[in-house]
Formats: sequence, C-alpha cells, structure tokens
Amino acid sequence: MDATLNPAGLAAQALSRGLAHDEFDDVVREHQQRIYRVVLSLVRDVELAANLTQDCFVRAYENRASFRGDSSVNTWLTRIAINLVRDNARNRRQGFWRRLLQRPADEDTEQLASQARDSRATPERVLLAREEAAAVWQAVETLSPQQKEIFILRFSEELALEEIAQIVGIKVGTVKAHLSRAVAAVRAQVRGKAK
Amino acid sequence: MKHEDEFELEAEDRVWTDAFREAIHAESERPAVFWSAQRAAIRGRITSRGRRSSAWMAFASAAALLLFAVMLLSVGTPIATRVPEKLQVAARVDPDQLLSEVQETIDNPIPDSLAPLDLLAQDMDKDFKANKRLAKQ
Repeated sequence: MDATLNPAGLAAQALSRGLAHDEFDDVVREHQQRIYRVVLSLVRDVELAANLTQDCFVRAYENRASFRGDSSVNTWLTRIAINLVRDNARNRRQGFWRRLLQRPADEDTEQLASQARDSRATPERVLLAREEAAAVWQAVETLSPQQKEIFILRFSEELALEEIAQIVGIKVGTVKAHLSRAVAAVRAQVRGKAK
Repeated sequence: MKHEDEFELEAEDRVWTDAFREAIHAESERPAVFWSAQRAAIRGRITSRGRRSSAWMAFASAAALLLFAVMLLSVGTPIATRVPEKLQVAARVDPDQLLSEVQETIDNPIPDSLAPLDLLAQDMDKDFKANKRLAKQ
C-alpha cells in the first residue's frame, strides 16, 4: 500500500476493493458531517436531513461495487446525497401539509443567523453577519433547485466547478452559468436589503 | 476561497458568502453523540438489510429446488410408463392381416427373392426329364 496516501485516498482504495463493515464505518465517520451539512442546507429539515444522510450511506454501501475511483469518495457520496434529496422532493406528497405546519421562513433564517459564530468578531460584526446570512438564505430560497444545489456546493462546501459538475451531472460551463445567475440574484437581494 | 481562478467574486460579495458559509456550518453542528448514533443507525440498517437479503436468498434457493423437484416428478413419470414407438407401430397392425401373411409364408416353401432361380431350376429339370425319355426310346 502507498504510504503517501492520505485518509481520503485510503478510503477510496478500500471502497474500490470492496469494504468490510469496519472499513465502511471509517468512511461514514470521515464524511457524515459534510453529507449531513449538504443535505440539511438543501432540505432545511433537521429530521429529514438525518434520515437522508443515513439513506445516503446505506445506498453507498449497497452500491460500493460501482465505485471505480474515477471520482473522489467525497464527490461520489455527495452525488448520492443530492440524488436522494431530489427523489425526496419529487416524491414528497405531503408537501402542502409540511409547508403549512412549518415555521415561517423568517423565523428559521433568524435562528440560523443567530447560530453563526465568530469568536474573534465584535458584536457589530456578529450582528452584521447575522443580517447578511439571513438575507442570503432568503435569497437562496428563491433560486431554482439546481441553482440552489450549485450555490450551496460552491459557497458552503467550497467545491471546484469541475467537482460540482460531476456531482450535479452537468457540464462545467453550465455550472458556471448557473452560478453567475445565482450570485447575481442573491447579490441583488442582499444589496437591496442593505439599502 | 479555494478556487478563485475558476469563478471570480467581487470583494464585497465575499462578505455575504462567508456569512452564509458560517451560518450553514453552525447550523449543521451536532454533538458527538448525534454522530455516533447516526453511525450506529447506518450500521444497523446495513446489517438488517444483509440479513434480509440472506433470508431472501435462502428462500429463493429453496423455491428453486422445489420447482426443480416438481419438474423432475412431472417429467419423470411419463418416461417410465411410456410405450416404445416400435411397439406402438406393431400394435397398430391388423392381427388378421398379420396372420394371413404368416400363413402365406409357411405355405410358400420358396422365398420371393429366390423365385427366378426356382423357375430356372424347374426348366432345367423339365429339359433333363425330356432328354432322358428320348434316350430310352
């Protein structure tokens, strides 16, 4: 085994040769927080995000033989997670009732913004960050599902355009176009709020 | 930002993208017990699916075996009791016709294939008897 491989590389090697339970447990441990974060930011429902994160790893385990190592484990798992989120949105029959029972979006964004923390920040900066995060969330909610996916993968997960293209299943140029439009839309709303 | 060469952001946009990232990361933070419970749930689901698929495989194997046995039984029985084709053909021949053919064969001492030779022998015999009679005279 190559001694220069990092843990992600080892996980990819382990996946491509088929995994034992213990080894897969390491893959889950390494990626679960990031997958949960992506799913939660897309579905905005804590319980659903936890369930879909579990589904993602169960599906990954079942399809581990299909992992060829031509993309990173990170990309592969995120693609599974995004597909699950899409399936969920498509199949959700109780969407009306969910929206009816959900708290108002403003309340959610306010709570999210209040959780944003920066230990070095001054109270003014914290307040500013909260307001900005709340405004960005409101703007992001108005984007199309695909633009939202791309926006979150780029600005929350800081993924390269190439990686986003692999995950979402479109060309890099299209990712860039979606991202430009999404940023312009969010920027306009954020600046509009600031004025 | 890691990939600035790919997608340029204006400096003031970085303020709100950073705030957005921090908000998402803060929102998804959970205590260690949450993550270990998630791993346990995932392990449990994988194990139970494995058990379910093993049970399904066992059931499928048993069903296939049963089907094979039933096929053997249904195909095997007629083979054992089946009458050979030649016997079936023989059974279709009329017994009276067969009897008359046998009788004809018994009555006729010369087989059909030797009939020309029999005629020749009879002619030679006639010639021989005629010559013998002439010699006596």
